[in-house]
Amino acid sequence: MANRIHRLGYASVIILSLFCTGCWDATEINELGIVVASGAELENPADPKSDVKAYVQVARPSQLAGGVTGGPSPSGNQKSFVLEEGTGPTAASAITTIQHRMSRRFFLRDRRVIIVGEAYARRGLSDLLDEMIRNPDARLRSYILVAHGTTPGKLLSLSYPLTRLPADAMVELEESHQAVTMNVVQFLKVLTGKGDPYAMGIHLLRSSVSNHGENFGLDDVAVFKKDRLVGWLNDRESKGFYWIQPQSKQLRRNSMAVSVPGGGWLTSQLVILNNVILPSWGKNGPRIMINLEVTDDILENMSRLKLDQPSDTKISERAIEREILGEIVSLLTVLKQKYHADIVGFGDLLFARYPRQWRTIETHWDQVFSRMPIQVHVKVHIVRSGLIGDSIFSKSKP
Amino acid sequence: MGKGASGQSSARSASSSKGDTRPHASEGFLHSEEYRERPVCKDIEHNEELLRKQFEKCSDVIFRPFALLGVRKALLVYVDGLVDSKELEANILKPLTTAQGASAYGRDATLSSVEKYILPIANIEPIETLSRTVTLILRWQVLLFVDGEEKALALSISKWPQRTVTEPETEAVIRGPREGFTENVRTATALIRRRIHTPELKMESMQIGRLTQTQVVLCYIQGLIEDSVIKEVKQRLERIEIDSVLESGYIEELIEDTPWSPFPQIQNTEKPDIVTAFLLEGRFALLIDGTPFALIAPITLWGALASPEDYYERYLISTMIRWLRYTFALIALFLPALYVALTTFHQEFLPFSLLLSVAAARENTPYPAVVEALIMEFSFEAIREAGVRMPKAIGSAISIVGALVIGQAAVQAGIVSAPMVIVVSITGIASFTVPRFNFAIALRMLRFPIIVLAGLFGIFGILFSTICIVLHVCSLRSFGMPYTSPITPLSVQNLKDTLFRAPWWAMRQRPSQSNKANPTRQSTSTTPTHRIPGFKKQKEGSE
Repeated sequence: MANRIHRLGYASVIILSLFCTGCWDATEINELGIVVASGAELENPADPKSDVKAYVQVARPSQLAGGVTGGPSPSGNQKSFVLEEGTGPTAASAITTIQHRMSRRFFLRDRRVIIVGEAYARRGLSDLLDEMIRNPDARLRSYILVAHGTTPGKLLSLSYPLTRLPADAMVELEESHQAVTMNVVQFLKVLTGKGDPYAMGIHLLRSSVSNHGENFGLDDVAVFKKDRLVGWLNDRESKGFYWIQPQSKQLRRNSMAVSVPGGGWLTSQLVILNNVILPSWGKNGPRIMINLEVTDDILENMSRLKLDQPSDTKISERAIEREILGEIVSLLTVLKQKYHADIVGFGDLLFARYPRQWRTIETHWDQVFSRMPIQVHVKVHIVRSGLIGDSIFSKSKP
Repeated sequence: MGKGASGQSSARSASSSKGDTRPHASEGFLHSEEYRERPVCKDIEHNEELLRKQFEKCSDVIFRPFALLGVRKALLVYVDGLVDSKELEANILKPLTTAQGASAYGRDATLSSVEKYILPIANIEPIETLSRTVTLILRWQVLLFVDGEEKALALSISKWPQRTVTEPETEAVIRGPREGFTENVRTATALIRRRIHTPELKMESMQIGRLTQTQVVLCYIQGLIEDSVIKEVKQRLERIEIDSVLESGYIEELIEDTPWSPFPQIQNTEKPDIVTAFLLEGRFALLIDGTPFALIAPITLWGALASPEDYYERYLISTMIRWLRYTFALIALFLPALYVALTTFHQEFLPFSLLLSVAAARENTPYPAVVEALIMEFSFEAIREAGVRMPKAIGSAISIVGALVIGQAAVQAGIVSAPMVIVVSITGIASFTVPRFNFAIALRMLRFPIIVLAGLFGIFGILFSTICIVLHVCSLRSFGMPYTSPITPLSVQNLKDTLFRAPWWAMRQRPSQSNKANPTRQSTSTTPTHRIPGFKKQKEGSE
């Protein structure tokens, strides 16, 4: 009998304790504010000491789901997201001030894009990154973009005609293999390594055909010196950067138009890219050799060259090689002489290969980098030039 | 409750101390101390008087007096409707009343000569006590009394309305025998005996139930099953003292190993081919009169997820379908709980698009996910139950109401979210993929506490309940066989019929967990090496 009472006691304690939990940490999914993108810029771009203004783009699921959503939903052309802004001394505190105003708890897991303003980036991203590392909710796979010639607020308020959320479009642009990607993890990895990070710039497109004339797109590469933005690569330099990036091996649909000797244009498309950066250490310090092997096919031949002739193929290959070489050289020149930033990651390669020698130059790596000789070899093969040989226009003209 | 239990046990000990000779009060006054041993009287009037008194107000008990071969007084007593009246007329009354036999025996026809020469009846038994005649009348026999004889004859010509052998509805198969047991235990024994031609197939009969005297046949193949198991079963059956056994479920609950468990430890089936297969694997079956359901034991968890068709279809199909069932058994158990845990605690597990869809669907729902899940699962169980009970004619009404009200209307009214309906439907379908209905019910019941725990603790709650279930299942035994064997305790050799169904030619050994005495099932002559000419050579050549 006593035994039974004991057992009953234990059982009731266990059962009652179930109802005392009050559902720890439980949050219904519809009580979350799903943050899809955030932005940060200086309140007064001219003053580096000013407060940080943060933007948070929160998805509105009721506007996003298709079909029966349950219950009446306000129809109409409402935006699929809400953009909120707040200010604080740092990016993290600015987001906190927004959170205090919002009815829903921020859910940062799906923040996929962080857009930083140019002025804020020039001041340095350290406070933003520190918050990202510490906050268990934040995921480090968010892409970092730098607003180029505009503000994050402006960019984040635009909706994109092709995707439900503009942040989705930004992610798709980053992942489309038409640009080099940079997310928080990669950024931190570079920062803690020997090189300097970079990020893609995002800018406003004035388009007369869609979306009330405004849209956004990725453009140039932003060059950082440690966590601070120091400048931009222009179009030609950015292309040079793509060529020697390891991740560019997947860079598809990268077509380029080259003017060939004898007049006319030739548009080639990248098929296979093989780029190797070889560090070496001579008497005069480190040297770098960049070997580039490019396999191209021809998209368009608007020249007099007959591509079924090996000699003409050679000519076009040389022309493309010259173009690529020119782009890379202009990139290296601007990096070495203007920004003194090693965004290609030569430092990491040297350190990996020559850790002992690296110590001797570690402190003045910028200067060494600026003076370091870099050899570039480019080899282009044209395959699949098309069976029609020369341009159809050359046939029509006698 | 404690008082009642003690009273019952004292009554039992009293009855067993008398060696079960004491008649039960409900057996009538002829079984009482006074009359029990009283022999059949020479005076037929006296016998009739006592029997009429015993069967007072029993309109279906017929007393048919006649003159044996036109001379001696005789009496037939039987229960109308339980004996074959045509046979009674042709094979009993006709030879006994006409002159056909009289020419040979005349007045001297004694009961023993009637038994030996006159009656063309296969099953005749001389009876000496009156109490025994009562028992036999109630067991569908015709009792013949003759004036001046101290014995009576029990003539077995029983017949009553019976269902024919049909396909069992609860265990439909695409490929395989369509026969099913009927309510008559003889049909069951016949269907099994027809399949197994060995005298080692034993069918031990016993009566259980004081009032129903239900015949229970313990069926096994001697030499394939361990004697200790049979001994244990008999002991457990002998322990039963109950008024009635109306269905196999009575016996199942009275002899199973762990009465508190939600998991069935004895399998029931209507199909003779299943029983036969189990017997041949060294298990036993209990055939119970009055129900088409036979009991089989010992069984394992994996057996609950196997269908007889697994053995009739080709092995690749069977293996795939088996995995499908394993997967869906888990879905039936965990899916709603997982949905609750993910949407209330672990939103980060959901892919972005799914998160948005679920969030949108849940935007207007009034209840938290856990309450919603409980309501929906509860309604689903109600629809299922209603579907079983209702007359077939209004079946379509229920399905319309179920689909429309629970599905469409509830979502459109914003009372439940659409993903919840999907989850509940998938769970419902999943629970019907489990071939054993009683096992599926166990899964359905366990689903509810898991949902509650998931709502309180999230994934932690699900894991906790999983651990509890695994511990419990591992501790279960069915007549000494671990419920989870051959996975735990691991027996690699027996896995061939658990995680996958090996081809028949590879299953050369019987499952060793049930029988160690006689392990070999077939010779190696049908393995591809022996069967296909040149198979061995090719293999050697390629190597």
